[in-house]
Parts: sequence; structure tokens; C-alpha cells
Amino acid sequence: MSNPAGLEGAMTRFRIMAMWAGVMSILLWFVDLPVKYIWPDSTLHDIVKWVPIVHGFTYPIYVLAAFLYCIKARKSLTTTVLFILAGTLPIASFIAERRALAEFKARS
Amino acid sequence: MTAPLAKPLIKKIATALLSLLLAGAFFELGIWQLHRAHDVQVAQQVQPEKPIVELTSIAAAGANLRPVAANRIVTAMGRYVEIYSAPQQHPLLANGKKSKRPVSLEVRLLEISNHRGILVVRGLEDNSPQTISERVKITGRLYPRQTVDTVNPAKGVKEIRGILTRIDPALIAGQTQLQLFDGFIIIKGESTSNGQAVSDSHLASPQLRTGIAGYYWQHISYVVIWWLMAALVLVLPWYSQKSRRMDKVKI
Repeated sequence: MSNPAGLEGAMTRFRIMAMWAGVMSILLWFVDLPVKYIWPDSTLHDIVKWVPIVHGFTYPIYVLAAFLYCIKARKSLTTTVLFILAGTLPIASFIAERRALAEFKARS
Repeated sequence: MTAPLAKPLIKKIATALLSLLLAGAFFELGIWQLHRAHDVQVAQQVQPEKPIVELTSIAAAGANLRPVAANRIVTAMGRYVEIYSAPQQHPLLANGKKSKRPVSLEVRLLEISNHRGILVVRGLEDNSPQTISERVKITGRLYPRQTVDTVNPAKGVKEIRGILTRIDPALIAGQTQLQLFDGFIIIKGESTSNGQAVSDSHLASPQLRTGIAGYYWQHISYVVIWWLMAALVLVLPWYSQKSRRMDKVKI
């Protein structure tokens, strides 16, 4: 079975954004949130305050990349939703990226 | 004949209703984040100062500090009866941010009329505290009590008389006969009853700003996310149906 036209580009964009969203989620969950809620008066807070802002503005790009990839790859509605939500959890977007790559290789 | 036709129609209507419901929920979440962004912006603005008032006219001893009383500049007249040290404090700077360097502050208990007292932060702690035996008139900003210890109370610091692990009248309530006002004052001016200034090396006492979690642009980014989600749940079911139909045509 061959890959649909445009799938490779959509998948590359999705993989880049999945890795970016994964790194930002790790920073958000394991750096920003502990600093914010465990040490709220810490001066570290000023150092990491860019994390939620950058994560917030790049997550929509991840959502669009995941959406376009799922459309090109003819994913079901449920899988599309799961791929979109994967960007909110630290490790999930890495798993989604690996899965997308494996599927693409299997179809080639 | 009608049953097989009605089934896809019902499914379509259910999908449309679910999409609209989810889109509406996501849109409202976006509006909520927009309001939070606005709240953050308002909280960061400095409010115009209200007229200076007598402490006793806006606060009562033995009662919780009312939100309207916090941040007000007040005056009080009385006599210092105790000296405390508040170590490891990060006092507010003039720009409203906390000082990064920890310092020890000199805190005194000011006894005012009718056996009432309030904690007063005079400034940085000195090795040889100034002796002030006469009555003083102070002017300063009223702050809510601190709720977080700056020094680990587990190390027994709380037990040492004269050390305040946080600036909170509750810590000295058992050591004095005075009825205490909630909160504390950081003084801006201090003079004797004949108008002579006692000290002019005071700490900055900016307005305490409301702590609302997050930053303005962080909330705006969440607005973008929620509204994008709202758009997606409207588009996604129809887009996937359309692509499925196209696949069938190709086959």
C-alpha cells in the first residue's frame, strides 16, 4: 500500500511539532509547574516564566500539524482527537511521533 | 424503507449537536481565559492612592483584616513595647517585586490606646537597635499578615523569643496582653509627638498587587488554543466524512 500524496510533508511537519510540543510539555510539567506551586516565592519563577507562554503559543501549531497529518493519513476521528491531545502530555507526543513514523515506513 | 434513511440522518443531527455543544464549551473556555488575561492586566496596574486614614478607623484589633483595609496608608500613635527580628525576609522593592537578597527586618510592637497593638516593620535590622522610649506617630502602609515561614520552624527558631519566622501577629499573641490588629505596617514616616523625625531609613512600601496565576500572554495563548479547538470540533466530523466519501469514490 502506497502513501497518499502530501503525506510525507504533513508527517515531517507533525514530527517536528510533536518533538517540540514534547520538550515544551516536559518543561511545563516538570520545571514550570513545580517552581510555580512548590516554590512560589522563588526567584526561579522569573527565570522560567517564558515556558507556559511559549508552550501556549506553539501548541496551536502542533494541533494544526496533527490535524493536517491525520487528515492526510486518513485517521479516524478518535485517533485524530488522541493525536491532538498527545501534545498536552509530556511523553505522549513522542509516542505519537514514533507511531506516525512507523506507520509511514510500513506503508512505503 | 424509512428506517435505513432515518438512521444516518439521526447520526448526522447527533454529530452536529455534539459538535456545536463542544464548540460552545471551548468558545466559553476561551472567553474565560480572556477574562483572566484582563484580570491579570488590571491586577498589575497601580491603583490610585486613597487618603491617609487612622488605623483604628479602618481596622479593628482582634478581627481579621478586611480586604478594603489592606494596602491603605494609615497613621497610628503609640509606644513601642517589644522588638522582634524577622530573618530571611525578601521585602518588596519600589517596583513591587520582591528583593532577591534575603535580609533581616526590625519589627516592633506598637502599643496604641486601649491596650491594642500592631506589628510595625521599621526597616533593616540593626545590631544595636535604636532606643525609642517616647510616644511616636507613625505613617505607613498596612499589609496583610504573612502566611509562609521564611525560616524553617522545624529548626526550633519559632521557640526563640524575639524571632518571627513570619510577620504574623498570631505568633506573638500568647506573649502579650495587648489585643492585636491583624496584618502589619511598613512605616513610611515616624516622628515623636513634638514632630521630630525618628528615623528616615525606611523600606519601600509599594502597593501589594493581587496574585492571579499566570501571565497576560499566557492566558491569551490559551484563548487561541480554546478557540482553535472550537473551530476544529466544528470542522473535524464533516471533514472526515468528506474524506471518507472521496475514498469511496476513488475505490
